[in-house]
Amino acid sequence: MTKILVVADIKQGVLKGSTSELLSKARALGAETAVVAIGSNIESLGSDLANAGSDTQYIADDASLELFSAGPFASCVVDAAKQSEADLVWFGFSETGKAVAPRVAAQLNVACASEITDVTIDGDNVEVVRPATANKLIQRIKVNTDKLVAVVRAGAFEATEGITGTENVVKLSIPETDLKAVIKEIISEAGDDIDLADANIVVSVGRGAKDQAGIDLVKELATDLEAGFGSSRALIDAGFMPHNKQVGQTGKIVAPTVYFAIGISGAIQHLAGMNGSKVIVAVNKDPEAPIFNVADYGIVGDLFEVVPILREEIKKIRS
Amino acid sequence: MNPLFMSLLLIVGLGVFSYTMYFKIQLLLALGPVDLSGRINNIGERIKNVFILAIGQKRLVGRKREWLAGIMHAFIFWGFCVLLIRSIGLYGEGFVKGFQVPVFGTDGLIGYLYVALKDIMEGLVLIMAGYAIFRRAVLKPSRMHNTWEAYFVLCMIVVLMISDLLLDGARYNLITLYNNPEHFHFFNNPQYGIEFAWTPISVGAASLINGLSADANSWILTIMFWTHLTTQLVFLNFLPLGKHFHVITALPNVFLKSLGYPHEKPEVLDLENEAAWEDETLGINHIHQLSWKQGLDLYTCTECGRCKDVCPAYLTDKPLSLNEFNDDLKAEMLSNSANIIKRAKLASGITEDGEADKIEEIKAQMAELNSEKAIVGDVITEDTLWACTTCRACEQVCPVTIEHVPRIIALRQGQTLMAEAYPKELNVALKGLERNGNPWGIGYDKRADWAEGLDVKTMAEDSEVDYLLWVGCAGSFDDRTKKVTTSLVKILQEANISFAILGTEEKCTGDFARKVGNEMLYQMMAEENITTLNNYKVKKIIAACPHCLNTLKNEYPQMGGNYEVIHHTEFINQLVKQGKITLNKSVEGTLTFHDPCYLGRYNEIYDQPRSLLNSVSKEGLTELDRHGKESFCCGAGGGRMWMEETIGKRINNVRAQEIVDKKASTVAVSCPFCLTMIEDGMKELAQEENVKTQDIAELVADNMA
Repeated sequence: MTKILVVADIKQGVLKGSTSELLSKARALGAETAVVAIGSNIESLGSDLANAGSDTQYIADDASLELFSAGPFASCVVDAAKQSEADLVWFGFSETGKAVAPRVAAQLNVACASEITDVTIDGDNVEVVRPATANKLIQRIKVNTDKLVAVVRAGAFEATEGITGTENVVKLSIPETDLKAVIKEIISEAGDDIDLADANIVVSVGRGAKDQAGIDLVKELATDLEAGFGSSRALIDAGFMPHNKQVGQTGKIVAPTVYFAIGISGAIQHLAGMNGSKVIVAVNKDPEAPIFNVADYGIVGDLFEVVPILREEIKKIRS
Repeated sequence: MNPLFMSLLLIVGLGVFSYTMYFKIQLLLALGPVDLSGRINNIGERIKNVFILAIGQKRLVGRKREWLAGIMHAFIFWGFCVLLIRSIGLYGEGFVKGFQVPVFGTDGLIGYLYVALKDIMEGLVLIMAGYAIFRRAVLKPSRMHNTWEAYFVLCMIVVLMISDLLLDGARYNLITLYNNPEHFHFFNNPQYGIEFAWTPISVGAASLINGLSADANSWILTIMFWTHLTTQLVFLNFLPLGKHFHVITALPNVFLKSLGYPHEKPEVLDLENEAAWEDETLGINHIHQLSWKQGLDLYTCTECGRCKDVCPAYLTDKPLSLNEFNDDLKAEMLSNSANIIKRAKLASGITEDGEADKIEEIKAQMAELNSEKAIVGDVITEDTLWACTTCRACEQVCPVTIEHVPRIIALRQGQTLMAEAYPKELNVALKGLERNGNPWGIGYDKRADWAEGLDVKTMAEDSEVDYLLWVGCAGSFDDRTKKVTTSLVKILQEANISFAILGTEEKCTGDFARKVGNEMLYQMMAEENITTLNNYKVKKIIAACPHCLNTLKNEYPQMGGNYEVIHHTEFINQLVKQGKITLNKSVEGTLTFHDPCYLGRYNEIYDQPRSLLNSVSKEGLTELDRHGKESFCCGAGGGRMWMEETIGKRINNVRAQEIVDKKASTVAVSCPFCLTMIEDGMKELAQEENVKTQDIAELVADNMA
């Protein structure tokens, strides 16, 4: 029976949804599931980890692991992978996952695949699917090593409802601190916001919002949708939005399931940052705005009128 | 006067000077090599440049802005040139009483004219030096730093002039007042009269001391004689020590100026050379990697600050002040001079057939001699290096033809290729180029979508056409610029021009990759494009983007791509002249033009766009304050289009404001970067309804009869 180890995605002590998505997929493949959780004061997460769909929980809990550091985190994952004899080690799509996965693969001397969107297991034969050359090609890759470390693309797998595992906690020994790089502090500008790169839905606001009041209005739409909140460059240059919210050529490149472009004309510099989105919804009062050339749904109108209606309708559907 | 003292003075003065110069030249020779074929060809043109730029001081006198300072400098310089002959006479006098320079020192017409000219020049130099001191002390132009060095040199100039005038004044008094003509030489030709009738200023100086006794006048004469010559030798020795070195180096620097292209083209780096990667010799990371011409540039920089006064980065508060940049590099070069010289000696010991062990040993010794400072990071900051838009405004105004931009590109090559330290936001654009041949990374297969339904052929369909239309990435993918492309197509079709496009076979020329130092990616793009172009045997290209134009026309020949490349404004202008299209003067309101750097300063295309604009405008073209050679960059050149501009004011907003202040209702551009930047600026200023930003091709297409 295939054994799959999922690396839990924990942010500020809370288990993120991607962990149960990965575990659900692992169970659907008929694998034996284990999860590894690394952090400080996370022992209480044991039952959450089991409920997310794991049969064994490897937990490395120590004050030294409070801040993310790739070296020690990789050691913990390698330790868990060896103990669980995992055939596949999966990371959810996050900056930390991308940093740790190659280290783990190297230490285990196995293959590593990034941004996979599907996995098929046929006996010993494991194949993964991943997009390549800016989403233009879909690669189907047969894995030649007996084990594989993989980073799963955001939203690739869905969580199955009503799934449970069994609580069987194994404590991991705490690795030595990585002396080559010590993380002293993590500075994050807007801690409670949803990370743009991880978000399933992104709402972005542009010059059409004019000022802070307009931005706040659009931000409420993002909050309603539990969406990441981004911006085109104009509002960042004007000082209304921080630079880490910029979607576009020189900012973040996003590819969510749904992208709302509110008051954004769609200059090519912006399009370069979001045209990989699955569904694009645009609101702009200029019917000639180039954003409508890439939008799947377009609303020609003033965002100050359209956004409140959108919010209302979304509330209705949700209730 | 006193041959012994004269000999001593000359031996010390010239001896110390030669010693200083020996080390200065030795350091230059220890720096990197220069391809001389591009530096000493066309001797005639070079000599002409020396006469116009160096001796004629064209960039000082010929600039409307600051013409007064230009006149000041020029007269001081010309004054010194004139005085040179007089000085030879004085040195001779030190040895032989009554020594006279042949021709100029004889009492023929030339002799008289020379003394008159010398006299007036001395007066003028004195006035100009006085003005220079006043300007530094009171007017304080922002571009200059006030150093003791500058005042010291000005004071020496004043002393030189006053001493020589008083010397002649005392001579005049001794001859005319004390009736002592037989002791002193002077012209007295029956045809031209007495010498002093020709020298009003010396006579004026004489009147200041004519109340003194004969002895006193005689003393003054002797003291002024030695003061003048001593000061002159001190002045000569002071020159190489600081920024006044330009007095000596400007002439060779102007002589060696790049011809044909405004500055040295980036070197086509040999990226297959493994040793170059291993020894980290690609681009410039350490001071010893400067070429000797770049070293000469640094010697020649006078820190006048004209460069920063026109620099879009400096004027919008970026940390790039070119004269300080030069000064910092010069200080680093001089403080490492001993090691640079040792290093060069070691390097000469490496021969092709040398033993591998021996070579490794020498290389290790050489590495020990590297400066402890990395140029970028320790000598200048990263922000300084990446602020440059490569607009060349600095080079265009530099009176001594310093080539700043190639040095900046070489430093960027060092950062990008060796240190892998470049602005990370460039990655998306570079990756886009690598994978899809355009900086936005849009699928290459969509490159020709704009042409659908326009009846435009591709070369693949028919390569037997007269012209290839090079569309460029913006013209192919950017919705705004696509309108320019379709306008251009409309014009070409109206004039029945036989042309085709490359369609999906076209790729970015690699311009911005090269300007940010990614020579590897540039060469990849260039090779692919040149192969495509040569396969179709393309001869004539119309380029719709000045950056494409510049790369195709000036940089592809380095890699075997030789084409006749013409910008669309040049081409349309030809069509109008040939009567193939007729224009209506129907553009209302104030029309102005923003010169793109790569069209103007790089390729000297100034008149054709203006001719077209005058043909479509009712009122005629209104020039911006900064136009033509001194046009102000939009902020997007040199890869800046693909980087964030987070420091200071935004360059495009400053330019847009300048256009708004001219009360323009339309601003014409002829570059897709300028179009984006200026239009964005107008939006930022909430002026997009009042000032339309349009490419010349659009204005022409809309106003054809």
